[in-house]
Amino acid sequence: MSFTSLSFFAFFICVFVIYWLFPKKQRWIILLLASLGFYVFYDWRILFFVLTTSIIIYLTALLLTKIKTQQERFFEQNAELKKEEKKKIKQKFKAKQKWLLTFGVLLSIVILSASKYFDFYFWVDKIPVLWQFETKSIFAVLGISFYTFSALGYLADVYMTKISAEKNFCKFLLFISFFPKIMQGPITRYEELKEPLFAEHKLEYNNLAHGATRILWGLFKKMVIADTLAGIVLAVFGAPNAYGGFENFIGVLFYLIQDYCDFSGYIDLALGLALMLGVKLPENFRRPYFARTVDDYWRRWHITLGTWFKDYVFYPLSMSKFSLKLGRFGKKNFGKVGKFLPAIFGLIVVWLLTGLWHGANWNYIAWGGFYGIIIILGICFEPLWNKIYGNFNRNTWWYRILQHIRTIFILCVGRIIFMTNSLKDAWIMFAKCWYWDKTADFTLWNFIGYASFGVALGCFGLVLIIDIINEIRPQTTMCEKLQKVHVVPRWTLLVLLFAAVIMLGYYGSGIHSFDFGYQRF
Amino acid sequence: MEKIIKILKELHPEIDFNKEEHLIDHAKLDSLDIVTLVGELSDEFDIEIPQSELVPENFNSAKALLAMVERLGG
Repeated sequence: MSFTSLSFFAFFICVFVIYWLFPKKQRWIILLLASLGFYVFYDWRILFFVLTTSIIIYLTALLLTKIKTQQERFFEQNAELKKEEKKKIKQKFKAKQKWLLTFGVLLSIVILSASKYFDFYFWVDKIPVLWQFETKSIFAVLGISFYTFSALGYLADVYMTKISAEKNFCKFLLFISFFPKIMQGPITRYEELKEPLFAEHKLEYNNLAHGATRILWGLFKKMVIADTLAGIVLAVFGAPNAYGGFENFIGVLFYLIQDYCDFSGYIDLALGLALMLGVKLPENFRRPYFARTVDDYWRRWHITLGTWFKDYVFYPLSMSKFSLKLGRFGKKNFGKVGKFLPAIFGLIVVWLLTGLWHGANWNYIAWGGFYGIIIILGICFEPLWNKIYGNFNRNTWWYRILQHIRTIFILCVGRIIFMTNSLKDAWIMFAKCWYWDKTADFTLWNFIGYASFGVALGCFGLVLIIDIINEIRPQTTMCEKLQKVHVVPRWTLLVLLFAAVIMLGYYGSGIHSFDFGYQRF
Repeated sequence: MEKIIKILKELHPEIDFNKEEHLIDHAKLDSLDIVTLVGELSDEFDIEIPQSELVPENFNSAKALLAMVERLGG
């Protein structure tokens, strides 16, 4: 049941009506039932994975809290203990908590890995008596990377006493499985979602209007732009050797547009759907293609994954005792750049893990390594650049444009490594992009027709205009800006958007609509 | 305070750390700066900065950093 299907909208309307008719206090129960129902409609087997991870993390968090309470009680009852004795006992309690945390994290990662990195059906076929599932070629657990990361973040926050463990399992399960975010995020924190999920919401016009606008905008990006370009992108990236240089070049540029409209379109849908139920989810994009540097880009693209890695991997690793020693070693042997060694060590691990997060594939690992190297080189050469640039003003318009072009070029290379089927294909595609042979085979363009291209690119122009406006005035959201516009142009725009989705959207009988790109992660 | 300003200046010579009070809120320091800063402060003042101290209020200004260092026994 895709978010862009009619059956999903029928499902959502039912949930919406029942949710708002239900007594305020128990509304979250409707959300939980709807979330579990969504899984059942999609593929009931996924429930098994979600429940297992939820139970493991829920119990581990409760046990962590129990040990902490025991520790506090112990020190209350033994206040007369000497400082050194206290320190030793504290360390024992800490060690217990560390073991428990490691156990919970490892078990969840084993489940995640079993789904992502092993041919599940290879094993299932070997035990047909126990698992009489209908065999499919691929069985990816929907959104497993996203909900596992939310769950692990929750566990880490309980361990660091940033939050207290949730005692009600059903409430915890809703935090993990809340259906608008389940397919591909955003990756949420318990701290930020607890209040919106369980608060007694009132039906507010603003939430409905903003939510509906966001849904429409998401559908427009996904169905009109991303899905129209997806055919070409998949064809070129699937066999770069079969196409000419120009087609490969255009394929890469189209993928840049398609990927953004697909992923951010989904996030618009998720945020809009949640808002119509009174729940505000965190933003996951901040106009990424307007970034001037690669690290700025990663602060704007898939924001919740970036901040997750920063808080739960980068900081703990870069601030560990080993890293501090590494820093001292670096300062002694490499001068000023040496003090960045802990950060560099953290970055290498984070980027390799980010690659692996996408799947067990050399392309993903190379992709992670590529971005890691680019960012690390940026750190190492910064003192040199500062010397070369001297007093040069780096904010001139032409220099900023050059920075944008450089960033887009790096993103294109990253996309080639990420999306091709093998590293060999990636190299072929990269090499072909520089050689526009005259014998280009334009049959590819007939794949969806020239007119559709024009329409899709024209529509992306609109997305670009909206993004430019938001980049210039980031203080308010698109919906807030739209609400200030006079009622006639506002409704004209909304009706046109709706008409575009209906008339130009990639759907209908006989048309294979494309899954959301990040769904497979 | 002088030691802290010196460490900060080595990271970002262009910022006036005596006046700046929104280093994190205005994104003047990023995660790489923070990690490097934690290492430098730990070495300079012989303290251990736990991750729970990584909140904007502790890193927004040189004054806030000094308060954190003193609280942690530096």
